[in-house]
Amino acid sequence: MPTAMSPKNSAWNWILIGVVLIGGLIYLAISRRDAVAAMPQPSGGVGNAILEAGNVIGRTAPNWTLTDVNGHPVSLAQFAGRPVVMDFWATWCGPCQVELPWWKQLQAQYRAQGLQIIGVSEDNSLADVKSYLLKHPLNYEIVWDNQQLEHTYGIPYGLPTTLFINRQGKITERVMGLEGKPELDRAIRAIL
Amino acid sequence: MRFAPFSKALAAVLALAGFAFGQVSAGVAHLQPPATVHARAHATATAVFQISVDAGYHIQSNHPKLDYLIPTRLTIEPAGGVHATRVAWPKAQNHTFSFSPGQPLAVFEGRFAVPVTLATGAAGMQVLHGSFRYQACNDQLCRPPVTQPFTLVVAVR
Repeated sequence: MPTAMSPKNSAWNWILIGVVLIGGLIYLAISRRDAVAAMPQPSGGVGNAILEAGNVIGRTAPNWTLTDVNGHPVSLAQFAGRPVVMDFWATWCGPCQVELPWWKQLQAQYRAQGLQIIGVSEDNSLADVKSYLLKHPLNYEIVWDNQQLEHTYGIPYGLPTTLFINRQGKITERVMGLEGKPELDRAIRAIL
Repeated sequence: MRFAPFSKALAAVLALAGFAFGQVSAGVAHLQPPATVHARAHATATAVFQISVDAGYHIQSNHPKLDYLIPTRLTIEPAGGVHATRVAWPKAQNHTFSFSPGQPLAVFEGRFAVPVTLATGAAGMQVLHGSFRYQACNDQLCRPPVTQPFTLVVAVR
C-alpha cells in the first residue's frame, strides 16, 4: 500500500538526492583534475625539459644524473657525442627479462662503434637491482631511477620502453613493449 | 508494497554512489570492497572482495612462480579488536606468455572473488584500513606496481 507523504517531506528527500548527486559530480571532477595533474606535461624547451608523452621523437634528450648500483653518479652528459640506448626496465618485468640478453649481445657487438646502452631501473629498491645483477650480470651501465626519470622522459604506458639517442643527443626512436631483437638491432644501427 | 518515486531514486543514487566511491580503481585492476560487514562479537565473519582485471592484462598471483615477480597482496590493518585471519585467494591460472615461452606463470585474470575471514572483538562499528597491492602486465609490457588503499566497515553486534 502506498505510503502517504507530505509535500514538505517529499521536497526534503529530493533535496537529499540532489546533494548526493552534486557531491558525486564534485568527487569525479576532483579525481579527473588529479589524474590530469599527474600526467607528464608538455614543454617547449629542450635540454632539461620534461618531454611530452607521445612527442619525444626529434627532441633533445634531457640530461640526468642518477647513481649506478655502487652509488657512483652517472650522467647522460658524460656520453655526449656517442649513440646511446636508454632502456627503462625493472627486475619484476617479465618482458624486460627477455630483452636483457639481447642488450648484452648488442652492447658487445657495437661497443667499438661507441654505442652505450644504459639500463634505467624502475625498481623501488636498489637492493633488488643489486641482487638481480649478482645473479644476472650485465655488460652495460645500470642506473637506478625509482620512477623519477620515467616521468621526465614521458614514459606513459609501462616497461620495457627504450629510447634511441643519436650522436647529436636527439631521440630518434622510442620502442614501447617487447619487440624482437632484429627490431632493436635496426634501431641501434640507425644511430651509429 | 510499493515505494514512492523518490525512494526508488534515492536507493538508486545511493547504490551508484556506494559503487563509485567504494571501488578502488587505479590502473588496470579494480578492487571492490564489500559493503558493511555485519558480524557477531567475539566470532568470525567473511568479507568478500571483488577484483576485476582489465581484458588483456593479468596480475601476478599471490604466489608467483618466479622470485622476481611481485605477488598480489590484500592487507588489512587490525582495528577495534577486528583483524583478518585468512585471505582465501582463488587458484591461480597458469598461462604462458610471449615473454615466458615454456615457463607458465601463475596469474590472476578477469573477475574473481577473494573472501577474507575476520575475527571480531567487542561490539561496535569498526573502520578498518587496508591496501591492495598488485603488479600488472600484458603480453608485451608491464605496468609499475600499484598499492591502493581501501576501507572496510565492520558492524559488530
